[in-house]
Amino acid sequence: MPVMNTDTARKHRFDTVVGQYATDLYRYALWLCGQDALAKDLVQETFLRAWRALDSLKEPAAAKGWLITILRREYARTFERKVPKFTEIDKVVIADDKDLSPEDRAERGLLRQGMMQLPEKYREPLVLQVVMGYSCEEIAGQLGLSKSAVMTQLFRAREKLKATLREDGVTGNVHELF
Amino acid sequence: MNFSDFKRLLGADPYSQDPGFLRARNSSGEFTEAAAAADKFEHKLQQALSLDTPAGLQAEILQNVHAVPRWRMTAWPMALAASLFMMVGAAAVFTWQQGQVTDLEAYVLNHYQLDGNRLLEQAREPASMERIQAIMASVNASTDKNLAAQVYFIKNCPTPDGQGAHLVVMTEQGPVTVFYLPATDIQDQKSFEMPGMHALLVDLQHGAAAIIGPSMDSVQSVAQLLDRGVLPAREIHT
Repeated sequence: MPVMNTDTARKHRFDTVVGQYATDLYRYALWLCGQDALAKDLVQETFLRAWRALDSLKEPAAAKGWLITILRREYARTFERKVPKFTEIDKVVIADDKDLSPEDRAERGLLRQGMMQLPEKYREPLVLQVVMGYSCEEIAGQLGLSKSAVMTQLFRAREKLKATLREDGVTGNVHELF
Repeated sequence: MNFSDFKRLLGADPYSQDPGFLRARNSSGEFTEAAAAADKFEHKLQQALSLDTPAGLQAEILQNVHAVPRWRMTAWPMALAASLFMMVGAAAVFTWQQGQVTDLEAYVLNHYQLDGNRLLEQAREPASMERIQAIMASVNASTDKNLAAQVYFIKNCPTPDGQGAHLVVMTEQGPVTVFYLPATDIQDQKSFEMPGMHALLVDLQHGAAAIIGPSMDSVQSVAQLLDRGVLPAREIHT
């Protein structure tokens, strides 16, 4: 019976981790690779590896960073085999899109296009910060960069996105941002 | 903190909890205005990055993870070593036989090594018609009822030319893996050997496919089934 209890507890612990992080991890993967099917595969493979190695996760608070590390490694393997085409973000439906005004919808579309056009070195830290809620120190640790380098990349990422809106923005809302 | 430093930090880390930054945020004049504009931009950015997630994502992850047999969990290092050995062997045999591996052949080899065997293990009973048609519709295709009856597993998967589908089709000789490639153009049918497996790249009436099975007979029978059974999205026959 103790074995069953241990297995049940392990399963419960894992299911909780999936519940907490699957959504954000999928979003992170999708912004990283730009393909829905590949993002789902990356997330699935990440959790499969996490399940196998769950006993090595001692601190629940470390789960997010641990999962991101696994996913980035999986993505790097995919990248070694073939550079994925970053083409499909615009096919993914945005939650609550229908409730937006035409101006807000246009701005959201421009921001997504701008994100797709950002070089990965700018896009990834921004996604880690905005989607995954990472601090600059945590991003630096995850990406193996200095904090100042991360801050420069984040600053430039936002500047490039704002420039995209300035160049293409035709709505009144955009101009309030600058 | 002067305004220039404040703007720089605001652009890099608007979430910063630095006391000097927070004090500047709440001061008056240009600081407050810049902070308000940055907050507005950040809100829009957060909304734009919050992409919708596929329905049932968590359930699918848990189902797939818990479906893997326990022995694979405990013996996974050996399985990994075996996989690596097979992959190196496959690549060597393949390269030796073919002289040069094309991108599409390398994709088939890599994709099968990545999850081919794992997904074969999940193909235990026929997939529902609803799921089959939903996945096929996502790649602008559908299936006839004969093909659908033999599909035991289906999911979306990446292909060299965009999104495709990964199917396991049950035959009398055993399960056969299909990578459906809706946007790939295969000029000439090509067969090749993988360790313990036979593979075929074939153009279909609608799209193309890579088929991997235990015998060339099973692969050829699935090729015929696909050629007749994969239809454009609107021609749904149930």
